[in-house]
Amino acid sequence: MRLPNKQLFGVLLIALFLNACATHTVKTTTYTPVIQDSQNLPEELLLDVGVNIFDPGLDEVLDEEEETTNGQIRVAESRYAPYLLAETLQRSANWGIVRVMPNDASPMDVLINGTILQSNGEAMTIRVQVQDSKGREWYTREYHEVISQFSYDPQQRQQNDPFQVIYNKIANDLLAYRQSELNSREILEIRTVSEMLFAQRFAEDAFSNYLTQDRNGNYQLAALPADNDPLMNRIRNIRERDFMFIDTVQDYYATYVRQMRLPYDSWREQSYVETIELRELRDSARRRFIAGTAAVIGGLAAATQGGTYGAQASGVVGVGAGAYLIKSGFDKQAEAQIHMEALEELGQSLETAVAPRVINLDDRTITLSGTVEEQYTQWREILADLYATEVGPQ
Amino acid sequence: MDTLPSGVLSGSGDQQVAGATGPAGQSGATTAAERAAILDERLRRGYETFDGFILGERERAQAESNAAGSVSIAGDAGGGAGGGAQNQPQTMEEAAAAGSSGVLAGGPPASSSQQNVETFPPPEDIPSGRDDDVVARQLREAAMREPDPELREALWDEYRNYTGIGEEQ
Repeated sequence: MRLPNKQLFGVLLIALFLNACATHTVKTTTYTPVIQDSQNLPEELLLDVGVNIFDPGLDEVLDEEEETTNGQIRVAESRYAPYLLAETLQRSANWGIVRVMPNDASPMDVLINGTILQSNGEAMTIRVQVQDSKGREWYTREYHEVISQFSYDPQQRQQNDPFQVIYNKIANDLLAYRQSELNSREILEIRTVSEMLFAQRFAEDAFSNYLTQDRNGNYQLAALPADNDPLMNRIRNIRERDFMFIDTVQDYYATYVRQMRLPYDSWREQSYVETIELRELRDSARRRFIAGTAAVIGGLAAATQGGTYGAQASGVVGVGAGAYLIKSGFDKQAEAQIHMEALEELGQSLETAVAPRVINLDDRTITLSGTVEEQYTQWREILADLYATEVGPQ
Repeated sequence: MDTLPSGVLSGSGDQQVAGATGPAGQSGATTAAERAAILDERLRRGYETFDGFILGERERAQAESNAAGSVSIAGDAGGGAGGGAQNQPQTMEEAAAAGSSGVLAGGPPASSSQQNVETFPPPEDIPSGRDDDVVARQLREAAMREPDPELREALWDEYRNYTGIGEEQ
């Protein structure tokens, strides 16, 4: 079989076209602001929100990002991002108190768990799971943002985190859910369940009958203590102190975030550039391999089976061009390797700066939690004595 | 970490509930109401110690946060461990020993130590403050630290105006 000249040109043109193709990434250019609830809810209908430390997501790193993902930085981010989310929610004024939780001991009306799936300065992906104190899961969603270099403009940075949009979107979804799915009665119920869970933590015997669990494991209110229940009033006093403890931990986080911000932003900005370079070089190398291979195959076919001298000559040219494309693909791969190493170095540099801060933050939080928990143990004993005294022998 | 001394919450170890386990002193068994009052007193003292401890720790943490903020603004992106032992929270025992950081601690600080900051309890009409925003919290803390009674009351008035307490009543 002989290939006509038209087909040969077609193969070569396709090869060149493949080489010229470039991938496009959609970047966020519009800023999504935080929506503030148009209704002015009374204070008793504002739900308190707890944001747990995020999962660094190291088990879910994509294969192609394994080499450029630094585990220590992810751990540092897993303590940085929840604080920014909590701040965003608090600023929205749609909620009661919003705090990063030091542990899972203190029940909150709404609890947010997050997993960082991607963070390289150019893109960030966070999976968010939300549930309330009754145990009902609100939703699990993924948020993905690809930002432009503009987000690292110093003036922009003065105002917002480069990925502020992702936190705003999470905040807006949370508000939308509350507005569409919860009425006032349900909100009050969630708040009461939180209080009862806290009461059970300190006086289990006294408050064990106020909550039941349905077959899904969700809490239901079975009864309520009297308004003037003295034990409940004491529990409320203790809960105020538990909030003070959580507030103190917020101060630790505020320090941490402030200390981390500059080196972290600097890393993200440099990582942004390197990540784009790396991706473009990898794409370019891939395209050159494909186009080069196609050109070589087409050229070989033409050189061996071309009907005319011209077709055979152009086949030889095609093989040569294909070989050149494949070689340049290897060159691009080598260039990509340089950028990958640059990313690794950047990561190690930031790791040196932030890892001790993470250790310090965790250490202080654990130490304070331990101290506070010792106090709580003593209060539990006093409350048990009080309960026995006030209820009398059964 | 240091363990807590027994009796920290009760304020003094010898004020244990005498009637809790049997007859108390010269007049025989305490009534349930008396016993509850004693236990409540232990709780109250525990709150005082806890409040003093937490307020002291918060002041330290906020001072560090402010320092970190000014360092950030100044453009120091350097690493460093940032903390260490000196950043560790003090234990409740240390807080109790410090004394003057307790909410109800009386008298001026005994020394010029920057950690010993006297605090004053809020007036009765002031709620818990758990829903305070940043401004309200700062007003509250400023008022609780203000030694001058007139200035303190002015700060509480400011707090009332800001949080709308007066309007509700």
